[in-house]
Amino acid sequence: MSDQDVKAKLKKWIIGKNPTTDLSALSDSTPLITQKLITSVQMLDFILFMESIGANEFDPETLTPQSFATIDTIYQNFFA
Amino acid sequence: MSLKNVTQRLSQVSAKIHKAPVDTIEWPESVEPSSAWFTSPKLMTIAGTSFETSLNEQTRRRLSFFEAVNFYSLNINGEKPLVEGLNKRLYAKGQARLLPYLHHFLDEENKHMQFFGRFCMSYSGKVYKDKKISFPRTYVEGEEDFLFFAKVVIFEEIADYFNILQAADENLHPVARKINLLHHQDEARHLTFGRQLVLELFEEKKTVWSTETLQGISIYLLSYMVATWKEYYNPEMYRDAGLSDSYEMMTEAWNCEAQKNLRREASSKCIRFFLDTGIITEEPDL
Repeated sequence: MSDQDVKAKLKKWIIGKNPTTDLSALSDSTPLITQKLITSVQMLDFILFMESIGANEFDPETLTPQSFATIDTIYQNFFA
Repeated sequence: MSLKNVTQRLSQVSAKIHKAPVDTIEWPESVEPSSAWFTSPKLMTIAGTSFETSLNEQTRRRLSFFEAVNFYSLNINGEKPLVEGLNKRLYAKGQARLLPYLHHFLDEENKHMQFFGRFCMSYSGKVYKDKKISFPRTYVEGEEDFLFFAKVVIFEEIADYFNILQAADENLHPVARKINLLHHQDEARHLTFGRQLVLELFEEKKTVWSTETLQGISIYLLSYMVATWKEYYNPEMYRDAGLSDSYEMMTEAWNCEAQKNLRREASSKCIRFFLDTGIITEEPDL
């Protein structure tokens, strides 16, 4: 899967979880955590989704909110 | 003497002085995952799905073993922050009325992790890792304590549903049955304490907190209920049971109507409590 495909899937998941928010301007550098587009209670679901689309193996104990700061950060941390 | 030898020796002495629940279980040297049911079939994540009929009994039993490892792991992963949170509240300002019971609560949660951990480590060699992540956030006065204990009630209510049914299931492997029984015996008291405390904390603060805070609490706890359930559908247990397409299995199991009914049934007491008290304003989308 290309980086654009992965990023498109990540965006689609985020948009799906925020149905009442206008995310037409969602970009690869939009701050996801500070804008509360991903919340802590959604993280487990998001991690499972990332794994299902081929994220590299990672140790959950090393993760911090910063690991999920933007689409670009997520791609770099889990898919590159 | 090595540190390993020292810790083994000290553990033996402590176990002799303080009889712990873990020592009341007859632990076999090893178990064969496909030889018995370790999770009640009707409580497995494949109950009511196409996998229930397409997988043979040996495979389903093997999966029941890894579902048990996952259930015990998620209990350990839930009890670790619980112990941390209880510890933080011991002798803290404003917690004096809770103090006598907090000591017992803390003690018992530690003992639960002993028997859950022993099963996982002895028979599967691992505890499934916690994939939940906490984000730093700010709280209004009293909100953090309230959410801490409210989450404990949600987590324990759901686990207790499994404990009660599995403690009574004569077809379950004796070790699995005993673990569920021991856990339920303590959790019944923890839940009585937890529900009363959550109710009191909410009554104290509901007229002080803003509408926005109250709405935020409701939304957060509804999401927490869903997130708690998601942990029961860990793709790693399907993989460890030798099944391919673990994420497809997770998705199908999660979306299956029979599983939705199981989640609603298992959560009904918990949901009723939070609705009746006005803490949540709608049913969670389970």
